[in-house]
Amino acid sequence: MQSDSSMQTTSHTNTALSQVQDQGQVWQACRQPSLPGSVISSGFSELDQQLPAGGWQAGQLCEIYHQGLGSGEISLVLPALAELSQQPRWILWIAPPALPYAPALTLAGVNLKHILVVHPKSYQEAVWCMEEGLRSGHCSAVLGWLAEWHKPHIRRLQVAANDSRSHCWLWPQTGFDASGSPAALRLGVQRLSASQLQVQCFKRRGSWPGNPFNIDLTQSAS
Amino acid sequence: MKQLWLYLYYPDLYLHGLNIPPYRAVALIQSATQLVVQCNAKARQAGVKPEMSVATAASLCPSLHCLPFDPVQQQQLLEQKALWAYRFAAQICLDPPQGMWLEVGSMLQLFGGLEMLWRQIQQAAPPQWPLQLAVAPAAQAARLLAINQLGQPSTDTDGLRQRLHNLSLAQLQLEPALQLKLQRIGAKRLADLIKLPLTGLASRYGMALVDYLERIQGHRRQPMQWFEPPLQFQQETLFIEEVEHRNGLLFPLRPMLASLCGLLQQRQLATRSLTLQLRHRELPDTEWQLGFARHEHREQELLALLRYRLGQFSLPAPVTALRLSVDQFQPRQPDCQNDWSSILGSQQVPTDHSLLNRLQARLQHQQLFYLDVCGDPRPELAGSLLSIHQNRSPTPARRGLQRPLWLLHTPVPCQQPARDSLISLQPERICSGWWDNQPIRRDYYLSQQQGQLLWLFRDASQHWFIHGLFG
Repeated sequence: MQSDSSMQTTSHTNTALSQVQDQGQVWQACRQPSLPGSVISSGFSELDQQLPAGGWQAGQLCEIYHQGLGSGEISLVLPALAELSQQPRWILWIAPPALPYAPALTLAGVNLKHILVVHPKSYQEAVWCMEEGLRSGHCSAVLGWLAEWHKPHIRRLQVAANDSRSHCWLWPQTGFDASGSPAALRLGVQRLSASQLQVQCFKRRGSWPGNPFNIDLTQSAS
Repeated sequence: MKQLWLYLYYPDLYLHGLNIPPYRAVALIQSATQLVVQCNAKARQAGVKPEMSVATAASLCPSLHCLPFDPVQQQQLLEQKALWAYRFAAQICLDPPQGMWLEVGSMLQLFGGLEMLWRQIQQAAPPQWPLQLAVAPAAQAARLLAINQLGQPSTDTDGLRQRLHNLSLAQLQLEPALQLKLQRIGAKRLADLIKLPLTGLASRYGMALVDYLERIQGHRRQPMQWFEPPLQFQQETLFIEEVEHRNGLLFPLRPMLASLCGLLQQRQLATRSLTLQLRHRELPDTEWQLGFARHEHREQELLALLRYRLGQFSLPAPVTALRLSVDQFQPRQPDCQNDWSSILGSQQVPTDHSLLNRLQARLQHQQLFYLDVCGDPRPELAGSLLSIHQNRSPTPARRGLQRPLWLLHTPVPCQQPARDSLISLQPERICSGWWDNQPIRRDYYLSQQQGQLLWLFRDASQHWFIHGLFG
């Protein structure tokens, strides 16, 4: 009898809560307001499901951690790059660790016309370039490979990305800092096979970190 | 359309261009006659006046700082002002030494009336130079009203006539001898002169006076020679106190950039390089060439670029004068606005180059690249970095075999991979380059090793190399 009444109370509370929710009086972190056109699909349905906005959201700095080059770290964003490169705005590649190979990019449908590669001489210069690119508002995406990782700098980049509504991906060349990051999104990627990647979401806004999941690279090519 | 003349009068034009601190008494001396030409407020307080001899001035104000007056520099300053004024009128006539006429009758509709135009000019005028404005249908009338600070933003005929007729003889800018003669016949104001019969005036004082009076009243037209800005830009700012830090140059650069942009706007041009010449007291002049990656014409952008570039230089010695010059101009490329991209579609709108300029201003141009792709079958030649100063080939259609996203600049030797790490046992054979003595003969394999997907090849001598990574 006792338990029955408590059940009733709970269900009653739930209806009241959902009523308030329906009226839009409660803000929930998982329902991020997104401007139209600011979210683009990552090209992988599994990844889209895991990303809070259902795709890459503009104005969010995303850190992608990986072990060495060739673990599929670029493939993750390649479909999005192909889409962004059709806009008449720059895509900045700042301090890439090797030559971004143009034939592979064109094969993925990336328009090379708007790609600008920058080789800064120092970490400070690289951070300056990233921030300048983000703040200018003339970049659809800024891609960076920073040799060092400092929280205040990451925070600046996150703010700059947010202000300009640009996409920003960062491949830190340092180890994963478990004490947290101001970046809105932190992903880890590992290669399982030639066409299979394992991705784990360490941080995302409005939701808990997720379990590792697999994505199929051949999916985006089709 | 009815002509309407706006006169801009810059009292003590040369003096105000010297950036004199207000606590200092300064007089400009004509070197030939040793007379004071212009003096600042501090000197006036001590009793110094124009037309005074140097000795008198110096005895009145012992701390007086005397500088030579340079009429050529003043004329250049006036031309700078005319360049600046081009944003308000298409037809400008210089009236040396310190004024100019602007034809504004045809501009009123654009600026939303005389009062709006008046206010805009006053707001845009650099505060360093005090400016006196007057407007009248007759050019000479506008000039006299401006010099005597009687200008009002109205074209009311009666008020205008009254203000003119009340001008005293001393305010009419006549020759001193002629002014004295007219005083002797009892004339005090312009109204007295106008009442006199013209034939009598002409026979006693010459046709020039009659002509002048007719022009003041607008019965006769003032001949005008339009000012044509030269297609070469050069401006100089003198510093009375030496500038010791490079950031101190930015402030005087700002008005110079503004008039440069006025010229660029008027001719619809843009520029790719600025030259800054710094004069020092003892060392030879320093010249800084500032080149940009792309043409630019916007004032804010140029200022930002200068700020970045100045950060890379250091001053060899304090600077006494700064000259900004531009001698190469390019036709302007169509403006690009982000707002248009959604309307026109992505193809028609060029990418904004201000970012490129800014990056280049801060970095060296060897640090900025495009990606280039060409049809060579050899992997190291098929894709490369291209300096931003070179022309790019158009992006080819998407086709071809699987390629790695990262290519190593030089292939790295490695051990023969284990057989089970190879993704496919059928290699891609590239055998090419016989035409330019760099032939290659390689079998390319994909191999997965420790979570990395590698692009390996085996050359003719059975050595293995890593050439790329599938990022």
